[in-house]
Amino acid sequence: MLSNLIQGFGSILHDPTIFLFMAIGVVAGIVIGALPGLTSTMAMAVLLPLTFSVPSHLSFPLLLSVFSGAMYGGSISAILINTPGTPSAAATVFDGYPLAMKGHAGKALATSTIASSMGGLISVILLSTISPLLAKFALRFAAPEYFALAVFGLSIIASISTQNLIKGLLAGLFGLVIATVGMDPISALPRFTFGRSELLGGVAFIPLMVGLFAIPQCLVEMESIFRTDETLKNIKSELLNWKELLYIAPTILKSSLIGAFIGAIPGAGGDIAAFTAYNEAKRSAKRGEKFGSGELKGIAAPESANNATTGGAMIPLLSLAVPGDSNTAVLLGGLIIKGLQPGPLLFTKQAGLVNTIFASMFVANIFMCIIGLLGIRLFIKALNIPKKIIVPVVLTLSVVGSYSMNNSIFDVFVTILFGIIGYSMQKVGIAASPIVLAIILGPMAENNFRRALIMYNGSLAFLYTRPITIVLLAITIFTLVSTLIKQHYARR
Amino acid sequence: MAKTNIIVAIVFIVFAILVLFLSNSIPVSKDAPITLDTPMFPRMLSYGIILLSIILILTNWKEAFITKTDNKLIWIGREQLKIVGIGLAIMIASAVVMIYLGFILAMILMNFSYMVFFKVKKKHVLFLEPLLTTLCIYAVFEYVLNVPLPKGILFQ
Repeated sequence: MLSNLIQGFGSILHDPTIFLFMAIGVVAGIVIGALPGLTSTMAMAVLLPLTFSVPSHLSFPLLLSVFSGAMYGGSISAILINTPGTPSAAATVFDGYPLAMKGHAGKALATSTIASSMGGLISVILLSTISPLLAKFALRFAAPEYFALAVFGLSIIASISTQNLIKGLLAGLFGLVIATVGMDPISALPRFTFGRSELLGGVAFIPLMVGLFAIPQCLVEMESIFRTDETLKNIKSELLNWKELLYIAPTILKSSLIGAFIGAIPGAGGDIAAFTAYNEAKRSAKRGEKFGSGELKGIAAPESANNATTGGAMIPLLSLAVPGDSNTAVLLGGLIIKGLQPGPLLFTKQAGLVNTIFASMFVANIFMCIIGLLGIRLFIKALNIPKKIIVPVVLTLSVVGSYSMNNSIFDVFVTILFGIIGYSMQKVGIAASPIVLAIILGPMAENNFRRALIMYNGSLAFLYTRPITIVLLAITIFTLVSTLIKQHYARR
Repeated sequence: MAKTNIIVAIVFIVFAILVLFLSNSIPVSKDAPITLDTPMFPRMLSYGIILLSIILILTNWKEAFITKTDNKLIWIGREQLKIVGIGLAIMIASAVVMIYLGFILAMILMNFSYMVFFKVKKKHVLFLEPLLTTLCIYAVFEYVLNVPLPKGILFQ
């Protein structure tokens, strides 16, 4: 199975330009991830128009490098200014910032760099070995199975709606309604298009994503511009010694496996993986009480787990066309733009591209380690760019990113509208992730349900006569019930 | 946050009723009677939204109006509203201006407006940031990525 990875190395060696694109992607990802307010999803959404004009073997390595780099970059600001650059780095704050405050910012950043890279590398190895197997299994999927899979993906809304399940489900249903806008793929009749030709293909995904993620963050940053102006001083740049490396190695391995597994579950992203790995590292540590006061394992665990989700999330994306998180949802958009249909057939029809993706993710993680260790001082300088400059730059990129999708100013207004919706929802405690998950999986659920009905001549028998469908629906029910029980006891 | 949750539920109910109303105008296909009609799925979702919203109201009613243990209306302060409102107004105005004046002028104006709004006092930042940001992004998209950006109705 590792032969795929080796073949991928062979293909990327034919075009050295890929290395340049990956280096640029890693640096861009790290800087974007390190800047609070800019997420990897937003960075990828903004860079997605690249897929129009750049060949697939260059554009996807670039996007994947941004993905990996941003996932790691979030830890830099988490460690240095107690502010996670991305949601995935939220758990890194617990031990990263205290260690930096003890004068060991370099150790904290080095731990984060090495753990992130190792997490990414382990997940790529898993991706290259498990994906083809999963792809063979996925060949048995038809409309009923895809419907059940979409329902399973949607059930993750319950587990990511930790603050309030009902509000999370409402957001999910809102997303499903938005997903119904456009031409009905079964009957080719328009729904909620209001006579606008721009809406016949549905609400454009990238403007919507930019609106839901980038604009609310910029608005929140605007609020803080008038409150504080945080900067960090006196950062030491010492690295880890061999003893410390060996000390964190088992944690990195275990957390990477956790991260890759959670990343492969649709809807569960780096933030969930990071918290799970942190909890597990704390639970199994001999000196668990040291967690929270600058423990190296407390940085290694979340960072290796969140970067391991990059490979993990690619497993359902490439094998089943189900995005594991919002980052892979953007990648899915990129693949579709290129006329590629992710899923089992991608491994046979586009084997070369799949192998290139595997190899470029591997190389991107090595680049990330080198650039991360060499550039610690530089990243600190990047963090000192005032928000007063960053916010207008991001908004300009949001405008150009949403416009360039369809060369339509209408999409810019879609971005602004969803920016307002996203900001309002954030203020009333509703996360954007259920909406995005629903918009991605909604059409898959509806279309396959209706196709399954046609297959079974209007009967619902496909729900209880097909083994894979039964298993997937049973897992969905189990996930929902267990989440409800956990949330019930958590409230008590 | 109980009162906020009730307001959220009411907003969702209004949204669902609007979807139900609009779904009446969706044409119905007669060709596929064995599967769901085109308006059926959004209607089912609307009923789901109404049901969940009612549950949200019922589960928050006691806290909001009877025990009043958690009835703070957490939303947004007046100062925040002003900041966000101005920030959004600049963006919307820039998008409108882009239709007439094109990307470069609209984005220079947008960036300059934000600099003024954020009370940037350094003259070189105030003037260079809008110019450099806009021109760099324009050059990358227009010449590197071959993405045509709007030139503006007035300049066509």
